[in-house]
Amino acid sequence: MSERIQRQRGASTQRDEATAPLVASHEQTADLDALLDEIDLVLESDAEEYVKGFVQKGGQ
Amino acid sequence: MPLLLGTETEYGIAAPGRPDLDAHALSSLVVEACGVPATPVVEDSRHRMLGNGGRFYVDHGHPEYCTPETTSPTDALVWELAGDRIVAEAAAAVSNALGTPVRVFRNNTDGKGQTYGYHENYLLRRSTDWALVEEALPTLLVTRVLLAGAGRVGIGPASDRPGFQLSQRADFFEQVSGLDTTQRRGIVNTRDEPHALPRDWRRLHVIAGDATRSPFATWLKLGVLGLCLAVLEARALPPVRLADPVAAFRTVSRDLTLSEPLALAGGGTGSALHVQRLLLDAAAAYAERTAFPEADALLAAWGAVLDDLATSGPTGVADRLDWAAKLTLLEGYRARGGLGWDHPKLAQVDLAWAELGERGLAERLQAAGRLRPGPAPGPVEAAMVTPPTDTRAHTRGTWVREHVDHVVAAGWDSLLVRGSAGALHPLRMPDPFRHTAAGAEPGASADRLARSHDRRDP
Repeated sequence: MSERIQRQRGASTQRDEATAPLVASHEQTADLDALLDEIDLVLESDAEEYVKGFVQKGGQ
Repeated sequence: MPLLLGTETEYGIAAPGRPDLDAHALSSLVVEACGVPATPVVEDSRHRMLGNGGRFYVDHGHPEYCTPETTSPTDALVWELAGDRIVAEAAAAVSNALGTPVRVFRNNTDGKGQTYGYHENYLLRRSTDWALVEEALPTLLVTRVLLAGAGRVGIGPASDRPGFQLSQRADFFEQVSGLDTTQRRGIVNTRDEPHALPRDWRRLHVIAGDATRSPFATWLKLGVLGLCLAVLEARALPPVRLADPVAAFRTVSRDLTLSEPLALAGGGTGSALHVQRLLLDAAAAYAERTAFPEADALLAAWGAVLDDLATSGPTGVADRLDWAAKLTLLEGYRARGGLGWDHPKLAQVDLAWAELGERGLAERLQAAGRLRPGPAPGPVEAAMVTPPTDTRAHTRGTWVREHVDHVVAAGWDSLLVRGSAGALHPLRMPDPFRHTAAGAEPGASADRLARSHDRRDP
């Protein structure tokens, strides 16, 4: 195994340990909620029709 | 050997307001609305060669864009994103003309039984042992789904069972190797059409990958496979092989725990993560000895993704990989509304993820800072109208971009141009690494350029 990979693995482990899981997860959940709300505004209101209307020819 | 690669994307297309237009007619309108320099590949053909050295045409009822030949994962990504822009802008022009939305999608299945491709091409030396490629490639491609999966709502070709899987394409592969691309697909495609001197080159045509929307995922999957193929050509791959790649393709795609044991040839089992680690270590050892484009960045990114998958699962890589980002959105909606996997809203999110343009969810996630951004807009915009400088695509693109009226025919490995006096000048380009910007005279007239072709040896 190369030193480069060991260094990289070390770096990402440190970053994981440095993350405060509880606070981050609350913030992330709030962020995600806001994003889902925003996405809801652009999604077609009729999900079923949008999905049904997408019929493709078989390709390669 | 230097890396040479390019990709082909068949886009999904729909105009719900014009059910009278079939897929071929609609795709033709989009190709005809191409807003960048382009010329028919031969007179009367509807296939267009582009001023960026790529190609744009209709295939099996889908608009299809091929990138020009590139020499690094970043260049391949930039010219692929340029293609997305070319297709999206053409679709927007058709939408305006028809007065109804024409939507284009970067995905690989309609969820109702049909699939369409995303193909990668890597130049191999003719001397590379093809039996070794057939033996080793399925293991590379099947475990690469961890990095390269675009994510899919629905299990089975026609989504017969509700659920989520990592890959758009896994359910459509029936054998380990084969020539067909539209039925009985093989994980290894055996097409041997090098578009280069066959004595020296073979073009590996990879049809088992997904079209990804995360620029990082596209860069990583292309770079990792390109690097692994270089390791293969050096006969330095680890000996690990999946015993049943077709079954393992489905297993890996459906395994959200990322820990399912896969039967290995010669006995024993290993997870896809385990196999990827072995490949990473071999690639890192190879890159210590041999130069490969962007090797340090690729190895670091690849290692970090495998680490984060192992320690945090999908949420650990949702900022980089399509399938994980999509899964995070889907799980968000599921948790919110108590939705089962068969709820149409989830299939809608899957589809909207792939839609090109402002409505596309991948764009939304990038704008919201939840998906790692791609290259700056400048180089991508430039790549819509400019060919790479370091492959023969430079010569092809320059003719189309600057002297389109002189181009009689344009192919991957040949050009036929007409001088002002009417004389025809054929140019053969069997070596994809020649006919580059090096030694070319910027701004040369068509006649001067044509005469310079005459002087070159064939």
